[in-house]
Amino acid sequence: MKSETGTPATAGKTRNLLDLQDGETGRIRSNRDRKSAEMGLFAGVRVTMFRNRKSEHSVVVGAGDARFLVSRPIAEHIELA
Amino acid sequence: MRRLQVCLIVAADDAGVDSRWLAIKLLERDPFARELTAGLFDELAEEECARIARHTGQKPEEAVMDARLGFIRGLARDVVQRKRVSRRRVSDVADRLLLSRPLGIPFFLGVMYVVFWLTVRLTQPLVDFTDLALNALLVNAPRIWLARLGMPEILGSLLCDGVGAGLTTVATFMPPIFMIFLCLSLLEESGYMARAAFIMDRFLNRIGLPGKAFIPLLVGFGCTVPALLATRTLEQRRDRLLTMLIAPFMSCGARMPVYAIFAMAFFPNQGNIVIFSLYLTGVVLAILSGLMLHRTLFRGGAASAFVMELPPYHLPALRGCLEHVWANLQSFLVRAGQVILTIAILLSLANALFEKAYRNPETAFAHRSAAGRVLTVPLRPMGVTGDNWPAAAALLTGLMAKEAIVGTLEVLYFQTEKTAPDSRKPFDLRAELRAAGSALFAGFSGSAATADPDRSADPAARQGLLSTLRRNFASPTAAYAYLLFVLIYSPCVAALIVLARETGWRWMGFAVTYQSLLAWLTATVFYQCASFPAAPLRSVGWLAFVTALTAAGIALLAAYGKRIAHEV
Repeated sequence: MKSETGTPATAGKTRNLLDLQDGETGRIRSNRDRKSAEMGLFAGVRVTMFRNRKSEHSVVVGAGDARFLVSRPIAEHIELA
Repeated sequence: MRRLQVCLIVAADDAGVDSRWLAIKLLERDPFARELTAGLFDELAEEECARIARHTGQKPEEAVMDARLGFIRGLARDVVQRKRVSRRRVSDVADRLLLSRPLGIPFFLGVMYVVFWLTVRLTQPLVDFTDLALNALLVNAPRIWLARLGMPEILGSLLCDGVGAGLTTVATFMPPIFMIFLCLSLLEESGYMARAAFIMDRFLNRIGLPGKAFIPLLVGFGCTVPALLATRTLEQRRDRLLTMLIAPFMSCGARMPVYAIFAMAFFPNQGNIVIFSLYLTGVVLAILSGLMLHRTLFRGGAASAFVMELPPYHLPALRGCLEHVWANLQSFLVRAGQVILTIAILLSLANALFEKAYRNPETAFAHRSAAGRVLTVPLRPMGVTGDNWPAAAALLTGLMAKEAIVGTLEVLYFQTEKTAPDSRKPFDLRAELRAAGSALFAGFSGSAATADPDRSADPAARQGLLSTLRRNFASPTAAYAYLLFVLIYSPCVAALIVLARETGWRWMGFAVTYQSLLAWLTATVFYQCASFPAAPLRSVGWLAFVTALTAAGIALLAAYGKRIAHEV
């Protein structure tokens, strides 16, 4: 089975925003962080990863026309379908 | 939920609200909704919450939020029609370059350098012109006229040295302050500020702060008071405390006139580089202080998480920017003007009364100088000589407001040097205004030799504060050490009051002590290193003392950090 991003989905393991590489897209399944959800990163939204570097504390994600700077601890709480 | 809604019909009617809204709010455990129903339906609401949690696998408040946002998204999709391709593509390409590691930081530093270049270089001729023209119109001319009319000397002193000199000082602030507010506003409107937060995020994380802390720090470049209030956006108390302790290192707009006047006096050709270096020193000290406090006083804390929107890059609306700048400038000038005028009037009045009490101006001057010299004792290792006591006194009035430093220097230097024009000498107002106009023209045409008042043959141009400063500070090194002290030492009273209100008096006391001590250490290290070839033994002695003091301070902070670990 292939995920939306074209990478193989790991059986049994939930994928989160940090699993997306630069240029990959995914759909949010759930977001336990209220603030980021209210800003536009809520369940059902398709997101694109623009910048994900392990050395940096935050990632740059796109949702529609909006771009967000999201801290890694919050990105970990955003689960992808 | 419908079951809960039906049960709430009467209660909702009594409270004058919609029953569906009340049911949703109870599921979200909203305290106001609980208050409206007097807690009568709490048990029923909890049953429904448990059912929703079982069914969706989410907390009820999260399920409600998801449903609400999903509805909004669907509605937006139905009603929003896009006519053209979004600006996003350009922004994404720009971000790929401007947020990258090799380009991001140099570009950020370049932008900041341009801001300070515009603030200093472009406004320098205007500051010269304002200083010379208003000095002639509001200080020198009225003094001559009042003397010719036979008015009492105290009135002349109050009107010319107090009101006139105070207004001149306030007016000289306007060009650089206008420019810095305009530049910051343009950067914010263009969308670059949020990217700057991303670039700073890397550094801030090393000191245990979230990237979001960059916003209060950035506001600190305008004024420390709103910067301290902006820390309320940070969730953790530890983050707020640490940010409030380092925010005053971001050089506020009130310090800019002090830098600008000193830069024009001592570094006429490298003024922008000097001012840029001061701003950069503030940023570096903020990072170093944060690093040290993170490892001593706030040991063990980690940066909290944050989310921030990156707006697309766009051309700023000039009208909006100018309105924003005008509001800031107006508030700054009213606040600064009140303080400077009050201090200038009080100082000139005190001086006039002092001279009257002693009947002999020479005796009065000798007593005043002796008292002032005492103030310079702790400042001597950083290059402030005993004769330059107005510089020490200005630091005291600077505690009231940083804007007051220049005003105090102007009034006290005038009193010590007696540079006022002789009332018996013919006074030519037109010639003085012509000299101011020539200085403006020379400044914009790049003819530095003519623009420099000290080199000017016109006596009117020699009376400015710039030449007085050059006479009183022993060297450009001593002037730069003084600027370092002004940059780092305690913020103004208004900022201290806000700090005490936000953190408590104990933290405010710590901030004043820490910042003032750090200011003295930094200025002393700079001056002693720079003057090392002239007096190596003295410099080695002071540098050893500074090192021992720093080590003792860090050990004390580490020990205290253990004691208060549970508090922060």
